[in-house]
Order: sequence, then structure tokens, then C-alpha cells
Amino acid sequence: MTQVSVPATLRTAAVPQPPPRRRRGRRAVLLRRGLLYVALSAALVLTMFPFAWMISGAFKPQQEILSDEVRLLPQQATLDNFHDLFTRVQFGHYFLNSSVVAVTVVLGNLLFCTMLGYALAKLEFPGKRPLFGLVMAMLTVPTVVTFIPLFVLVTKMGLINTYPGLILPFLAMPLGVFIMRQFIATIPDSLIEAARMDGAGEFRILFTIVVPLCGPALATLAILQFLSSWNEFLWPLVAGQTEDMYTLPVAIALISAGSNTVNYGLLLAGATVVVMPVLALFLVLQRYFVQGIATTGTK
Amino acid sequence: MIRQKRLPAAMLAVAVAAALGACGRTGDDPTGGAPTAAPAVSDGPATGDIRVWAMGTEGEKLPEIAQTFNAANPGANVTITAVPWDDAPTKISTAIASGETPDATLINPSALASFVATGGFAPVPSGLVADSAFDAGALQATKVNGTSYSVPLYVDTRTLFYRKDLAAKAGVEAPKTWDEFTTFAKGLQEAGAGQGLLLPTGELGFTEQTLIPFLWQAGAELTDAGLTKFTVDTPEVVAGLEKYRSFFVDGVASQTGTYEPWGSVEQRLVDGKIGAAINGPWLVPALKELLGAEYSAKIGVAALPAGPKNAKSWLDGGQLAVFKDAKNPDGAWKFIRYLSQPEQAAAFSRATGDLPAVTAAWEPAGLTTDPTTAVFSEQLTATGTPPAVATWNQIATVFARYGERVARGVVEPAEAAKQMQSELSGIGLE
Amino acid sequence: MPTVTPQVVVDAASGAGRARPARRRRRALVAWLLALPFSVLFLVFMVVPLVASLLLSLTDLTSRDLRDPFAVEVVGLENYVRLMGDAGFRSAVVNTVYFAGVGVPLTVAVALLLALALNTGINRFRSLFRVGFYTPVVTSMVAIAVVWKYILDPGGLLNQVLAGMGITGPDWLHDTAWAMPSLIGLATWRNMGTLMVIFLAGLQGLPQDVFEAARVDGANAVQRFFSHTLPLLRPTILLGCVLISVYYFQFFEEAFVMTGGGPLGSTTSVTYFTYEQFGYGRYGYASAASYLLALAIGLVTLMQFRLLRNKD
Repeated sequence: MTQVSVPATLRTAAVPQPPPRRRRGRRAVLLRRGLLYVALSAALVLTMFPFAWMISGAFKPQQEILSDEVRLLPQQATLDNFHDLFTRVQFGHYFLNSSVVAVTVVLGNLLFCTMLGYALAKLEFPGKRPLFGLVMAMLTVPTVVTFIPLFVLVTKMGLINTYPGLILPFLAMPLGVFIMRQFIATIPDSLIEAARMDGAGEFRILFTIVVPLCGPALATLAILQFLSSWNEFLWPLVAGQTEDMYTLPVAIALISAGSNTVNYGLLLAGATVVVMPVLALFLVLQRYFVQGIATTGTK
Repeated sequence: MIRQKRLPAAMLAVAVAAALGACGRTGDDPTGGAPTAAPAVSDGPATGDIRVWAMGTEGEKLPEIAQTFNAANPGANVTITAVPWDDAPTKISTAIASGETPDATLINPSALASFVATGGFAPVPSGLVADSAFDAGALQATKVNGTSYSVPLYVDTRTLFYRKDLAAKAGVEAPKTWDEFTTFAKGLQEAGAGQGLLLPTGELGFTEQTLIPFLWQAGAELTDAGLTKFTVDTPEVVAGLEKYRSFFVDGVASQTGTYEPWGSVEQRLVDGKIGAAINGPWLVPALKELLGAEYSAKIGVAALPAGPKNAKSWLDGGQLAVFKDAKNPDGAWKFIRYLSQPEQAAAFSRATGDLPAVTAAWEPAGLTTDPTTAVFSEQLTATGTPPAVATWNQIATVFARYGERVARGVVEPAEAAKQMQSELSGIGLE
Repeated sequence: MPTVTPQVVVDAASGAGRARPARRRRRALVAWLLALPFSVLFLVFMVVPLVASLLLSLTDLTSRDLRDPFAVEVVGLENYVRLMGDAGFRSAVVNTVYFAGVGVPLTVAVALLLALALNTGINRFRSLFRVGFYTPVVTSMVAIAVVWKYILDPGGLLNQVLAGMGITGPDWLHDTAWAMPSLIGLATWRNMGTLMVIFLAGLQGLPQDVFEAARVDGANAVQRFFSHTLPLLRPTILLGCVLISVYYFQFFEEAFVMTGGGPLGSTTSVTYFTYEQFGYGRYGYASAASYLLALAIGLVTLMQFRLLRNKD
């Protein structure tokens, strides 16, 4: 059933293309491929270096981090930084807060953006064009513009220092609507029309036919939204008025700008812990991620 | 400051009110007229929840003192929230804007006036703590237009940290005058330091705190006594700028000096990349940790060398202010009064390494016997504070910017003084 | 909800054209129900603050009005006029254009190169490469800034490597000529992963028969790229350009953590300028500056659509 209904663009995306070969110069091709691997590996090492250094620094004592000698692996590996992280600051608690906020934001966006994306792609309704235009225009507005009015608003709603206060302003992100609308537009109308003939309502069509086909787009949205929510700093800083509402980036700022001297080891350990969930999510969803963007981008 | 509301303003107000969900609080003019006289705080025990924001080491250590306060006041419960220093202004101003504030917050003296201008802080109730209990400079720094809006918690100032071993090798002693300062820095460099002296250039937050003392030392005042106009285009300011520049011209300080690049001041001192730096008391524990037993042999601390007029250094520190929208101002003031008792101030000083603003706390904190602290104590008798005006943030960037330009030789000191005067006058002293 | 008289629906694909008016109305109602949750949240938490700040940009609101935001005066377009004459703002505009003008093409080029390389016969370790090149995207700026300061320090890693080749490297972050290129390099490093994934996706969606035909015609790889891949990839490149431009024109974080806008203001961007004005409590002025930026971004986006889309 699902096999039949996969949109054409997805199929092309999923099929690996056979590497072209010509009779003449098999060795030349091998050589070229070898060179390509070497070049790519070199680029990869360069790209990954700062990242690797961050992780290794998390296991180094402060003095070793600051030493002029370039050493990727710690000379005296230590877990002190991580120990400090969870004892001196309530890192576990901040981790929980960040997770609650990011997961809710992601789930909310998946739901709401899909609903609106479907309406925009497959239904006609008055005000559709202006609505889409307004949502897209919002993509270009720098966040700093709305910061203070938003804060006053959330305060007047009595939501300051609460989870809803941290979550609600991020539940409706324009980029999500764009991705979902573009993706759903590629789903053949015949599928939807057939379901309508069978008497299915739009909600049922959306959740039983459209959503199951949206895997790549949902994965894309999930990664992008999780990334931005997980790394959001300024809003949780001001909206969380007591420490039990802080999130991980705020905790990192506390560590890095906490006192007059910077504890680099602690900072790098914190950053390492923070980056892991996002990296894990990308590892799991990356295949769909590429597909999701494939459909959005080429339409 | 009184503003006339015009008709369009009223219309706008309706629009914004509709947009923002109708914030109230029209009517009371935040800064106009004399501040309402705050009622005295009773002697009874504190009650209720008291919420306090604090930054840095203080944010980390205040909870300990809060516990003893809670024990002494069974009806009260103080909660301390740690806030990153760099982002504290954003947090405080957004809180004031929304009216949803904690009860009290720790604050920098230089930022006080800008928050007082918003009307967000309450004046200190009369007779909360006797003025005589505090360091005179620290007390002065709590005043805006003659009214105290905060209570000083700790003081810090900047002194000269240097490599004692390198100085001995070069045969120079801690400088007492500007001339000796130059010889000193040259000596350290000849004895092997990468740079004789570290001076921050263009790094906001550090540059103005290092540059302005040079101006003071030359006899300059940044404003007139009544805070009505800037007095920066003067021979004294030019002389101060010239002294500051001379270190770069002589090649004993880097034109791109920073306190916070990769690495840290203490690490560079230990490594000998720099021979000396002008810095605060927090450097002492950091250096001791790096050097251990070698500390006293390698590190010297001295008061700043005197210019033509004086040897003033930058006075900084931490103060506690109570928000006007505090839900429990009575409890907050009582907590602050508690912290100002010599024995509590001493305990807090032992926990943080801060120099207490309460002078009677120095002895119980064991600070009077420590030779390094003695230097800071001496320096505290010669300090200056920037003008207590709401526009200080903006003023500070002008000094930092011109510090960098002078250091890099982009502009001559005399021309810099002229341009600063003109830029600063544009910003104003409101 | 605006009641618009239902018009003839041209979108025959949705089937609405064949539906009876009653059914069409019901479907429109359902559509609005689907749109409602997003629209309400969007309206309350984005549009309302946006309108409020637009109004603020027409006033002289400063931090001293924080507790009493209605006691401000309407100054009309004065903030906008003053911005035009503000030397600090003008230099911020120049810096932003420099950053985006060099950064966008560079990032797009590097990402495209990576995507092409990964798309030509790399089967082994494909996921490893893909994830590897994407890692810079997921790291937080504050933390990775520590590493980059270490790399770009005058005695840091980069200069040690250069010294090994006999080159004396500059003080990257404190040299007025090199600070901006350094930040552009950092931004490219951080953002090429996103674009790479987008381009990779675009490449995989291309019809293979076109390339087969070109190959039979004897076109070499470079010819094939310019005559076939590039034109077909144009919509994808457009998407990448738009996304990265919107981000690069708001350039702030890199300068904030690496250079503090210096040396000598050479990396102070428009967003940085706005941030500073907010810090000074000049909210009306800051709002005006950010509206000019939003306008500029909108115009640039429009221009990109014109340039890259309507060519055939």
C-alpha cells in the first residue's frame, strides 16, 4: 500500500545511482576515486578538528587546554570537568528542562505545521494567499525585533517562569509551514481525491493518508526545530526567572561568563554534553532529512 | 524628566495597549521629582519568600549565607538565582519592563544609574544601615542624584600585578610614578617577558576601566561637578591619553592587547607572555592555583603608579538593589541588612574571596594580615568612579573605541580628546 | 475570519472545482480549522509583537520609559532619518554587505563542491562524510568559539601550521584586514553542512537520463556540470541562497563571541549595531534599525528569486 503511494520524487531520491564506468581507463577511474576519497577525508579532518578538539578538551585539565602545545588527545585524561558539571551546576535539571521544551516545541510544530501545510497545499479557503504570504514574510524578520514586546506580552499572560512561557512563542514556526506545504504539494492529488470519493473527511485524509507519506519532511522539520530550540539562548535566559527554569544554553553561559576567570574545561564539557542529543538525532534521521529537503528544494 | 503626552502619543498608547494586552502603570512618573521617601524597615524578623538575582561567584556563594538567614528568620525563605554577568542587564531591564521582577538583584555600580532612570529600583530606606559602616568610595557609588539606590556588598579595584622574578632580574622595583612605570615595563620585557605590560585596547568592559584611570591620574575630570556637561577636551585628558599611548609607542604593550582572548591573564602572566597587568583581586586565587608554592616568589602586587595629579584606580564592586515592583521589599531589605553585619560580611568574604564593603568585616575576614590585600586596601584610598548617569553604557563604548584608536595610532591624543568631547556631548548626561 | 465570496476555483487538482457550493464551504471551514492552531499562535506570539515593535520604531522610547511605555512621544520617521546619518549605522551596513556578499557565494560554492563530491561515486563511508560535514551545524557557538579562538590566536594552531610552511600568519582576529575574512571562514565552516545536505538532496532528485545522454555525447565532467547539472539545480541553489542570505544578513553571533565587533568596528554588523542600541536602552532607535534590516533582507530575497528563477 505505502509502496504504491510513494511520490515519484522520493523514489528517485532513494535509488542509489550506479557509478558510471567506461571500458577505457578503469585504472584512471580508480585513481580518480582514490584521490576523491583522499581529498574528502582531508576536508573531513579539517572540518571535524574543532569538534574533536572540543570533545578532547572536555577531558583535559585547564592547564593542558591552555598549553601552547598542540595535542589532540589529553595527556592526563580526567572526568573532573563532567563531575563538576553535574555537581556544581544542576546540569541534570537543566537537561530535563531543555528536553521538555525542545520535545514539546518539535511535536507542536510537527502537528500544527502539518495541519496548516496540508490546508495550504491541498485545500482552498478564503484568506489562504495572504496567510501564506504573511507566514513567509515572517521568515525574514530578525528575532531581535520582537523581543521586548513579546516579553511584555508573555508576562501579561502570567506565563513568565513557566514551561508554557518557554514553549508557546516557538510552537508556530514559519519555516515548518514552508517545508510541510512544499512537501505535501508533491503528494498526488489522485490519492486524496480517491479517499474523498470513499467519503473520508479531511482530518482523516490528513492523518491516515498524508502524514504517513510525510516521513522525510517531518524528519527535516524535527531536526531543524530541535536544533534551534535546543540552542535557543536569549529567550530562556529572560523567560526563566529562577534557576529551576533555566535551560542548557543558559547554564553554559553561567559557566563561561560566571566569574572573572573562565573555566574552559567545564565549558567544553558542557558543550560536549549539549551537542550529543542533537548529533544523535541527526544520525538517526539523516537519511530522511536529505529526502525531505530534496522534495522541498526542487519544487 | 517630564514629558508632555500629545494626542498622537495617546493614540499610539491605545494601539500598543491593545497590542500588548493593556499594560497599566500609567500615571506614576518614574524619575520625575524627588523619590518617594522610603519607609524605615522594622527590626522584626523577615517573613515570606525573598527572591534575589546574583551573578558570578556571588551567585554561587550567596545561597550559603541565605541558609543562615533563613535559619535566623524561620518565617522567611530566600532563594538565590544565579545569572550570567554578561546577560544580567538584559534580564534586569526586561524584568523591569514587564513589572515581573524578583525582589532584589546584585548589580554593578556603573550600571546602577541606567536602571534607576527606568524607575525600576526603590531608594534605600533611611537608616537601614549606618553610612559609616561602608567604605566611602563604595557608598558614593550607590548614589544617583544624591539618593542611595543600592547597598554595597563588596568592593574591588584594579592594581598592578607583575612578575616579581623578572623585575628582580631586570633590577627594577614596583613603580611609584608614571616615569618609573615606563622603565619598569621596559625592564620586564628585557628580562624576558613577551610584552612588558598588558593593556586592553578596544575590548569593551576592560579598556575604559584601564584607560580612564590614566586620565584621572593626569588630573582630568570627565564631567563638571554638576554633571551638566562633559569636560573631555582638556590638556589633562590629552596628557592621560598620551601616557596610555606611550606604552604602545615604546613597544612594551601590544596594540591588540585583550584580557579575554584565547587563554587568560593569569595564564599569560605565569607563562611570561606578559610581564605585568592591571587587574582585580580575583586574579590572586587564580594565580595561586596555577603557581602553588611559587606564587610569592613569582608574583608581585602593587598599587598603581601615580600620575601628575594622583594614583587613582577604577572602583568597581557589587551592590544589592531592591526592585520597585518587588513583592516582598521588606524581606529583601532585611536580607540586605543582614548581609551588611560585619560577621556575615566576613563570612561571605571568606566564601567568595571578595573584599567586603563593610569595613569592620575586614579584620574578622582575616584580610588585614594578608600582604596582597593590604595593597588593595591601600589602592581603595585612591579610586574614582565613572559619572553616575543613565547613559554610561554608551559613554563607556566611546572611551573603549578611542582607547583602541589611540593605541593603534589611528588618531592623535589631542584629536581624540576633541572627537570624544563631541561624540559624548551628542550622547548627553541625562 | 474574512468572508470572501467563493470564486471559481482554478485549482482543479484539489477537486474543489467539481464540488457543490455547500461542500466547498464545508471544506473551506475544515481548512480554517486545520489552519487555526498555527494561525492563532502565530498571530499572538509573532504578529502582535511585530506590530508593537513597528509602532515603537516610530517613537522615542528608551529604557527610562520601561515602566511607563505610554509616556513616549511619537517622532514619526525621525529614527529612520537619523539612522541614515549615523556613521556607526552606515559602517555596519557596509560590514554586513561585505560579510554576506563574500560569505553567501563562498558558502554556497563550498557546499556545492562537497555535495558534488559526495554525489559522484562515493559509496563507502557516505554516511560518515555526510554526518562529519554536518557536525559544525549542530555545535553551539559559545562553546565552539573557545576552540576557534585557540585556532586563530596569533600563536595559535593556524599560525603554527603556517609557520611550518614558512609563512608568518597575522593576528587574525585583531587585524582590521583579517578579522572579517576570519569570521566569514568561521561562518562558512558552520553553515556549509546545511547547504551541503540541501544540495545533496537536490542532486539526488535530478533525472539521470539527461546525464547519460550528455555522457554519450562525450561531454566531460566540467562541461556536464555547467550545461546540465547547474541549470537543473537552479531551484535548489535558489533555496540555499535564500536561506543562507537571510541568516548571513542577520550576522551577529560570530562577531559577538569572537571579536566583539572589533577591531576598530570592522566586524560590527547591522544586527550588532541594533543589539548595542538595545543595550543603551534606545528601543525606538533600535527597532527602526532592525526594520531597515528586515526590509533589506526582504528585498534581497525578492531579487534572488528574480535572478535565479525566471531565466528560462
